[in-house]
Amino acid sequence: MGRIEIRDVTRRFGATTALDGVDLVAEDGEFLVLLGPSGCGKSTLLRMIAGLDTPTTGRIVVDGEDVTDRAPGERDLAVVFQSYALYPHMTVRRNLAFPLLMDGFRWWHHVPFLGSALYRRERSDRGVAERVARAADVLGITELLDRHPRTLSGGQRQRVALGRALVRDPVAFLMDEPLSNLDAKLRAETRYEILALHRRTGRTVVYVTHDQVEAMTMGTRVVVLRDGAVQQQGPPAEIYGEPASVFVARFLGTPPMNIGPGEWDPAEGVSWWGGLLPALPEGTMPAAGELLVGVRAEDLVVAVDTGPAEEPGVRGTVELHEDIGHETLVAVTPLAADAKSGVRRARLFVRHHGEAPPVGAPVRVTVRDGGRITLFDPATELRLGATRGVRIPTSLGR
Amino acid sequence: MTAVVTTPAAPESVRPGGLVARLASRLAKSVGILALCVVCVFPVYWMLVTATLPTADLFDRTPELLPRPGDLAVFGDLVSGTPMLRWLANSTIIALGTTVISVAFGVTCGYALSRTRFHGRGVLGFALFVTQMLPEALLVVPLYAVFAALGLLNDLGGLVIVNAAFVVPIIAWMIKGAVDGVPAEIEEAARVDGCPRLATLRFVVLPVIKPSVAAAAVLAFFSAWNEYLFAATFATADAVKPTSVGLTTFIGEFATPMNVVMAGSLLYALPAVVFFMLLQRHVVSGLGAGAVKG
Amino acid sequence: MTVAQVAAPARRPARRAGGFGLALVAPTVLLLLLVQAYPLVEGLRLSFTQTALARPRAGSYVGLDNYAELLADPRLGKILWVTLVYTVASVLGSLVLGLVAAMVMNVGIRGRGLLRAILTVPWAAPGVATALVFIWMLDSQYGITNWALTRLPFVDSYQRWLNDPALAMPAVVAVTIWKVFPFAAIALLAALQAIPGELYEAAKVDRATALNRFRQVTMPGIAPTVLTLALFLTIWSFRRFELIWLLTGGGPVDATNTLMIDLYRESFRNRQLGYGSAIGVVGLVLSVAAAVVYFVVSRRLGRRYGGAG
Repeated sequence: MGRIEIRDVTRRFGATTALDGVDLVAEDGEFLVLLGPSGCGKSTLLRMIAGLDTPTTGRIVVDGEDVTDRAPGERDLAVVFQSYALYPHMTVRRNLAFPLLMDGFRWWHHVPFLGSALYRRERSDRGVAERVARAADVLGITELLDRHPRTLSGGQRQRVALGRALVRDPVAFLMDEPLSNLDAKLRAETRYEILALHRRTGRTVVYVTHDQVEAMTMGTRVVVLRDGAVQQQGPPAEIYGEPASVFVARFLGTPPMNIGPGEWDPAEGVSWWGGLLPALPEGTMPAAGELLVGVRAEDLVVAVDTGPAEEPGVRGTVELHEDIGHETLVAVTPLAADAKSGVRRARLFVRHHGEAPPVGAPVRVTVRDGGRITLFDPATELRLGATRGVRIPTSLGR
Repeated sequence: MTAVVTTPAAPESVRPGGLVARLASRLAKSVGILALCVVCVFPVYWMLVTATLPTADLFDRTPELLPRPGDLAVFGDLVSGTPMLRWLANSTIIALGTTVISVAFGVTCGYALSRTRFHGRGVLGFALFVTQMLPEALLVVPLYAVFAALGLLNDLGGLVIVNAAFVVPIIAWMIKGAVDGVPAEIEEAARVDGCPRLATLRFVVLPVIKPSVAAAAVLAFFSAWNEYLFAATFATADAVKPTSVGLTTFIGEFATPMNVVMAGSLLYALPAVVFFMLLQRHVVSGLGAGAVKG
Repeated sequence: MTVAQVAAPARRPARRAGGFGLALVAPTVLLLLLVQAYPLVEGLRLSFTQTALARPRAGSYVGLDNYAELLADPRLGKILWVTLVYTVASVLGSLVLGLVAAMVMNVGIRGRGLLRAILTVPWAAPGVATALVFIWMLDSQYGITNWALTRLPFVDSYQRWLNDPALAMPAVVAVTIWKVFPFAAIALLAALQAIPGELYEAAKVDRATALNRFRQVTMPGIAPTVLTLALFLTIWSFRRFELIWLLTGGGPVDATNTLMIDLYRESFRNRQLGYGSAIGVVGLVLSVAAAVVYFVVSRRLGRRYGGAG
């Protein structure tokens, strides 16, 4: 019930390739999030699962059955659209009942004036009426049943759209950025609502979003797409903690992972922005050479620079503070950045608790004890390995 | 009858010279609007005035400018003395037939142009535009030959076909414009809900674009109702003459007095005028969309 | 990434969609083929024949004789001149009057909807009813026009509007403008209202005079609409038949004998379908030429004003 396989799917629109040989499985009952920037192919992928688009090559398989050539209505999947796509001329009740009523569609409903017979079962058929009532009850929209979509607020429309999907009891729910038209507060609420729905039905959910917060908080598994190809897939924590590439590392997390040019020398260790990092290599490391070094903001420590120059850490200047209540985000410009990066303005973000060094102060940024350091190949931008920060008995320790 | 010029919330401190100029310009605009209304409405008004006059007063050297209320004798003459009722019946049949066919064809064609891809789609769109350039007077000659061969002369059905063919392109453009404005996601939702494609058009798209369809229907009905050239050429027998042709038989004959002719014209013109006034917003904007994209 | 299996390209749904679209347009296409395309071809064919109205199937091919006769006909020059005068006068008149009406309506008016409804009256009125009432209003003895004009201090004689070769064309053009200008007015009003008010305010701040504002703001804003309107009005004028036919029948002395009127007269009065068709083909060529000119001009103006046409 609800295992969706995508087998080597490619989709071309003329000369452009929207999806390039994607292989993917959504296990039964899973909450699978397709995450990526706009144009990465995530919506195209969802539309192909739904049957609204057709792969140029490759197959879509649901529960072992090849559905690639089946019409959308014959796949037993429900879709929640970004714009909700409610039928504007129908009441909420009819919107919910519509997928159920289509079972009773006959050719003669096309005849003028006889068409309204299609809607007869909306109230007369107990099965239909009960299922609509139950879905409305679950989503708390029973009072809205006789209203038209245009009279509803954005959040209410969103519930009706969820209800229309729920009422069919499909093998899987496909959701295409369902929260992007809501304001921030409603978005957070509806996130929980969708999670509750997932728990209650136990059905597979394939959820498309470009919002990494949604991906992290909702998905049991996250698939990061870029330029029509899968960059990485796995549980949210794994993707956050062990990004497979510079792209994934930058795409997930606010602020994005700090990544800068560095060097690896088995004798000395890892240096970054000209400063040595307190780090122990682990994993298979290449021979000495240049690489890209990435550290998340919460794994960094910033302190006013008092020690001698040879001490570990990146030396820099505090550029600005961003106080977000329980913590302060400190932006530091490395001293080495001026020399090194005619390339781009570099900035290190550090999560800091308590009083932060003042703006303009000379500081030293080091990796927290146990903090994770990720190393990337500068040419391919793929992950090489990781290392962890170690306690160094100097004045820098917190 | 006239529109009123609103006073823009004028600031209290107005320069004296500006005030005079502004009053003058407002007066000029009021006069202009009044003149516009009179010009547009007067001929229809004059039909009404003439239709209420007794025949003897038609030839007064000083015409009466106001209608005489309550005198409907002329309309009695019209109904009893001329085949006006049969003409109106024929016009109605032709117009209804044209409406049904051209709306059915125009809606399916416009929908297909907006939402489906098929070979020759671009060509068809262009062809619909080109039909607007073909002079009817050129086509009437060969059509006469075709219809003579098919036995469609002096046939209401033949006129329905011709009228439908000339209005379908416009309706197809209007409907295409309307369907372009319907979010595609609604149709996709219907397909996911198991709605067949034709049923999607019927139960999802059509109800949403109902105002445009109504406007198209009005346009189709009255383009057939108003049509003269083909009717005059193809419907020469009295039994099938529509009102447009029937009324023109009065031109140049002197047996029917002008008050009766004007009464007939009024009866004939009024439905078209009233319906277009009521629905002008939809009709004109629909036509505009078709014209601009055409 | 490994290739799981080699899949055949899925062509079927695309073709099915194509079939669906074709099925939807098929009735329209058939209708247009029967009533527009076939007669067009048939009209071309007829123009190379000598065919009598009474027996339209029994024509004989005469090659280019009809065209030769038409070009040699001394009346052709006059017909084309009359057509040109009628078209230019009625299009220009409708555009100018329509623009004036639209600008009058564009200032702060309550009841603009009502005014627009009133403006649709001439446009909606059937051509036959229009022709009949104007024949009556322009009647040389009992018409309201002559009566009203002689109330004016400087007019003292009644005119035979539709029967005087010098007056028939102005009269027909005037009736045409009455019927057509409201369409132009409504279209131009929509274009005027689409111009952002801030542009005028900015121009005022920059101390542009009213005339300058019209030239720098209004004109570019409505240029695309004017252009499209001009094309449609030209095509409509060119092919207009019933109004002229009913008002004057092309007379007096051919003073209002446009190409379309002459075509109809030749075919159905003189009963020469072949010769009539040749006139029609010449007319068609001219209206296609007008459309081509339109597209060239609109592209050039589009480049100047950005996004026109």
